[in-house]
Amino acid sequence: VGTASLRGSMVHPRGGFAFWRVLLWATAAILLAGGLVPTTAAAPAGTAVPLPSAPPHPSIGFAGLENEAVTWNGVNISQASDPGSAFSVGTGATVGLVFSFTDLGGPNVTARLQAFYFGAALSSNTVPAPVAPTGHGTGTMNWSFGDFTYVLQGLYHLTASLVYANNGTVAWSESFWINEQAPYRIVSGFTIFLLALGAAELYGIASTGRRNRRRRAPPQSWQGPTPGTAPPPPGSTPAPPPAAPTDSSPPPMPSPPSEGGDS
Amino acid sequence: VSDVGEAAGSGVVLGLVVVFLLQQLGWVSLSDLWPGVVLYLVLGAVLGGIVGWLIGRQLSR
Repeated sequence: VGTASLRGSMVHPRGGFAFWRVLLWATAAILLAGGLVPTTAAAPAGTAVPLPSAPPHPSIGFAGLENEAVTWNGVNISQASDPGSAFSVGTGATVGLVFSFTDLGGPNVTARLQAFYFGAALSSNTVPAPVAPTGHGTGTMNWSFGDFTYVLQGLYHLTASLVYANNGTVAWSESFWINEQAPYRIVSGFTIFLLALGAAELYGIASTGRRNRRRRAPPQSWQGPTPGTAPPPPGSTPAPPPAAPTDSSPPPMPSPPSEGGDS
Repeated sequence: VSDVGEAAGSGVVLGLVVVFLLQQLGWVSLSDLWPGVVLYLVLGAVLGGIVGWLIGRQLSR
């Protein structure tokens, strides 16, 4: 039954349209949502570090570093550790991040900021974090959504990490949340696309009901008057319909046109 | 049957649209697989499909 139904929906013009429209719209929405996330945001050029094999964990400390902290425009990112306390980022805003730590003599580290979407790190920016002779390391990064700030908005999960430069091992990481806010809360490309898509689908459902009403309506309501017959005056009783033929004889065939009758 | 299926399809898309809109408005996070993608998107699609199917069935009577 399922195969027949699927085949029927692919063959039937309206059913097929619905089936493939779901696939197309869902694929377009997911591709647009994922593809528009910047893979390289407007951060200073840094050293590319391979992605970690293990998922990030909040506040994992290693023996090589201590006193790790990251500030987001001067505020420690631990204050935005859940979506309810996410940092608000305005359109086109550039945020200054400062990674600081105390090096206990391990290998060099780099500072990395990753933005996650659909469980994958789609944006990864790294900057070197040099260590002073006093043992205090600092990495400074300017981060923004770049040109995509006019396209994207909403809640995003970010992870700030200190990564060993020699082998890419995560020495420390902490997760936090940001809320990218477009003007008037809806003026971003993806939101407008979603609103238009929702309106189109609502119109599709409404047109289904309208089609059914037309289908149920009697034929006289849409066929119109027969040419040559005047409409009845208002208030008059409509004439009864002609009696149906009692015999089962076929209707008379139209007479063939006479050849040369008009000459 | 095709009208009901079309309405159900529209409901699925509308359910996905609602979840994406909630993410864009900062009320739902889609950053993580759980609960973002697995729970919210699947739940939105299923609920939207059911509601669309019910509406389509009502309209086709």
